[in-house]
Amino acid sequence: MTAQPASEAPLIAVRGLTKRYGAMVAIDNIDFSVRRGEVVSIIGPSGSGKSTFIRCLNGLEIPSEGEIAVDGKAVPLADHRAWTRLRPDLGMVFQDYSLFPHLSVLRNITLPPLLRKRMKEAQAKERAHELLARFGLSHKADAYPIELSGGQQQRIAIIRALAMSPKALLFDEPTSALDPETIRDVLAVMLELAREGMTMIVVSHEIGFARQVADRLVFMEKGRIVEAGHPDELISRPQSPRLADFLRHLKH
Amino acid sequence: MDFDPAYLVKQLPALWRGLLLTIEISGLAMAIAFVLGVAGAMARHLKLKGIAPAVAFYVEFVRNTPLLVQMFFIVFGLPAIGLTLPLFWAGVVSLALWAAAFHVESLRGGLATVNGGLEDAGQALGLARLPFLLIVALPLGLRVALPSMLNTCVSLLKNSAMLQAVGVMELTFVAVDRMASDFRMLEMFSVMLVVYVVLVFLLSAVANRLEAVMQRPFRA
Amino acid sequence: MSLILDNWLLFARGLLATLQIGIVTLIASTIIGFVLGTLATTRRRSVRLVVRGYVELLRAVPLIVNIFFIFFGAPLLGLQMTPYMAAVVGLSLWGGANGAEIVRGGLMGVPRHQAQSARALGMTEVEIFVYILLPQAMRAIIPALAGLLTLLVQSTTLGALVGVPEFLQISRLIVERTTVMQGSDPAFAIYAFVLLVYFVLCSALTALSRRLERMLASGSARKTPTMTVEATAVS
Repeated sequence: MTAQPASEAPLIAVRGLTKRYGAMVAIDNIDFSVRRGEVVSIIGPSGSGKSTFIRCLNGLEIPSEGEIAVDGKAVPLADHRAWTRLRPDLGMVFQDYSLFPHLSVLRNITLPPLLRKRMKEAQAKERAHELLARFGLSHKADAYPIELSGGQQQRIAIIRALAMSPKALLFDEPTSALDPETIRDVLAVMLELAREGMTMIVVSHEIGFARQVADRLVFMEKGRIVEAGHPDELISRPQSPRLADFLRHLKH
Repeated sequence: MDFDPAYLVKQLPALWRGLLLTIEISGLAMAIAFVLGVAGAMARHLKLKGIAPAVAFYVEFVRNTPLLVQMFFIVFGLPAIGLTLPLFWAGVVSLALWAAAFHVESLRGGLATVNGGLEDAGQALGLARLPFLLIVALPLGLRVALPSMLNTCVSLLKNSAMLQAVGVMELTFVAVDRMASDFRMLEMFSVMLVVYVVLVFLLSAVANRLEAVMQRPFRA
Repeated sequence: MSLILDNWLLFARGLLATLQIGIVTLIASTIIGFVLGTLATTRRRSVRLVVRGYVELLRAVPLIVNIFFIFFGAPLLGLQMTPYMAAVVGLSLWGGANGAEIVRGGLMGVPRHQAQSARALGMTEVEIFVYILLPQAMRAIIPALAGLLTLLVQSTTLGALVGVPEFLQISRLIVERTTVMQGSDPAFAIYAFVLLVYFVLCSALTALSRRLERMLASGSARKTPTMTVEATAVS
């Protein structure tokens, strides 16, 4: 990264993104971009393709067609190695935490940077401890995932993603597998990251979070972006009947 | 060595007799093993005094000893103390006793899946333990156990080839005998390969079919 | 009883050969199993099909036919095989097919999202296999391989049929020799003894397998679905 990228240049830019499974079109010709520091919330009914969409962004699903550029560089869609190199830049947090059950919390956090960033062991550990301390989880460093609550596991998963120093974080329904009490802890962490200027794309039905944090709310249906705009705007005055309908269902 | 179809054709009658013997012995053994397996599993499930532990030990014993040695014991060992069975029946019995042990284990696992709620319901209806076992638990347990029991049947069929070693003139015996006398390896191996693969395939197909049929009433 | 004491050296030698074949074939089966089992989980359909074919073929043909095949068939390819070698090769190929199923099952038992989240963290496919999938799969694979050892030890008896001087073959020779020399048939006592020895040996191995399973299932890490190889596979 030599030249300072223009602040308006999008961090992630997507054009004509399409994902097909056989005859089924999961993502239908989406154009989309995210600026540096922006927080985007994506909502939509199940099967709307929102999860598939963010999984296309880091190549967990290889798009059938379209262009994806991250930080100004186009990603060759069919190149597995390019994806592998790119992925640490876009950290991802999953619904089911996906910590590695056979590794301690500390090792979960240090293993990826040790492998990818050619970091020294001591350095990786130091960084892990730093992150754990920051989110109040230092005492869990030597624990194994099974010993943690869902909320703690999810926060560790976020820390694990952060340890790779990503340029952006992708959240795939990060709170939908959690108890109501622990959802708050996880949302608090996400809130703090957003305030610090982390670029985030969040697939979630936490409308409160979207309202409080998101710069933009995107409503997807049938693999398309139906509506997008400022959360308050969109929530109070939905343009499409589908979104109005969807929001009504969410409230009940 | 070239493949000689003419030689193969000449040996077909003998091979055919061997094949029939293989099927006969396996079929009889499967039937006997099924009966013994069900009886053994029921004894264990009802915790019959004296019998249940004996069955448990029997199962462990059979599973932890080689079938070939079991065959030697039945075919050569028992006659030495005056217990002589015709060779055909000795073969059937050895395979049946072996498979029965595995059936007991499979069925025991199947019966264990029948939950306590059903048992309570049975008691509320005034069913005693044995009628409950026969009418409710056994049919349900069999369904669960069926895949692994059928698996045992496939193994039984393949293991019938070991009877070659004690002189039962089944398919493998005939084929190996011709190899030793005429050195026609290629022809004989082709026969064995094809026949066993086809037999195992057929039996597996029947097994799959049966499994599907047994599952049917559970579907909507 | 005196018969067994008189021949204890022969019995011991046979038992040693049995154990030796069991261990050698376990090692070979493990190697074949890991290679094929891993290949069975690759994305390439053609590779998976070849592995599937190998496994299905070896499991469809009776093991004894397989050993005869190698013993009698090797000379056709210009190879000379001693009975010992034929038994080891035959058992290893068969054990390898079972090993492949064990390893494949273990790898498939690791939840899918594990590989996905590792991928999201930028790990390469090789790294994911080494650091994430294999360690988790081992907890199911190790006890199952110990179980396979029991099957292999039991199956070494088939070596007797091509003349390998293992435990059963030696016992058979002792029965024959005693019958000829003393005129009485000791088959009942000797084969009962052989059964007993195998029972003790294999029970110990089975216990070891169960113990390993329990040990690996507890511990602080999350329990991954364990899979045991049912001993029904003997053939």
